[in-house]
Amino acid sequence: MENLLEYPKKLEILEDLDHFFTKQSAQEKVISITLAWLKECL
Amino acid sequence: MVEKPATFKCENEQIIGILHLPENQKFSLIIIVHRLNSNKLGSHSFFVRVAREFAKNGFGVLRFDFRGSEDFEGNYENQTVTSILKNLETVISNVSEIREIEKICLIEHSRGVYLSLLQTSRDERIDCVIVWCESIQEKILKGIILDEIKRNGYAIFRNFLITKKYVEDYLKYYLDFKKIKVPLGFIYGEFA
Repeated sequence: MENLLEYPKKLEILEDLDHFFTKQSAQEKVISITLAWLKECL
Repeated sequence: MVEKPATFKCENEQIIGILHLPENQKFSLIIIVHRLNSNKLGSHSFFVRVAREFAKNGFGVLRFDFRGSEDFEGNYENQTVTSILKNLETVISNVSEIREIEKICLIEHSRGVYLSLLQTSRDERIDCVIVWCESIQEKILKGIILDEIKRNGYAIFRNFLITKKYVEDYLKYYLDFKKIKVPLGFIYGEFA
């Protein structure tokens, strides 16, 4: 749970990336971050 | 990996979904909760891609249509927060009976965000929630959509009808979010 709290920092980066990359790139990031969360939580 | 259709009965209406099964015998199941003007495919089949990627990584995935969306039998006009929660409750109750499933996680997209949180606040069978969200609910709460509903009796958001009945029903549940005890992650942005 403590580790999950670190992710919002990465989300800020994601938001910035969206200005420079395609929607598909953003989707790849969303999938990989979500998978990391799932592996940690379940 | 196996992909197969799954059907559930909710108040005499049929819910249709697709179940993605990983190769491992025991697994956690991810239930994808789609947004207001979407369906079990997601925009440009994003949920299909997500489900296959997760299944490759050992997770089961269920994606399905809520009342009034795509293959669901019922009419969209009868869709409310209560009816959607009933659909979700039915799906969770059914998959909880599958012995290969060890844990359950909800992944919500946009409107689903709040519905999954509501369901999680009252359902101990859910082990975590991840939210991919846009901002329609914030628009409701900030009054942008409420003003339009007061004027016309309805509002239009991205060419989609938001009924007064839907918003009034939604506001009843808002404070339940504080009861959530399981891990919760948010990803905010326009990516799907």
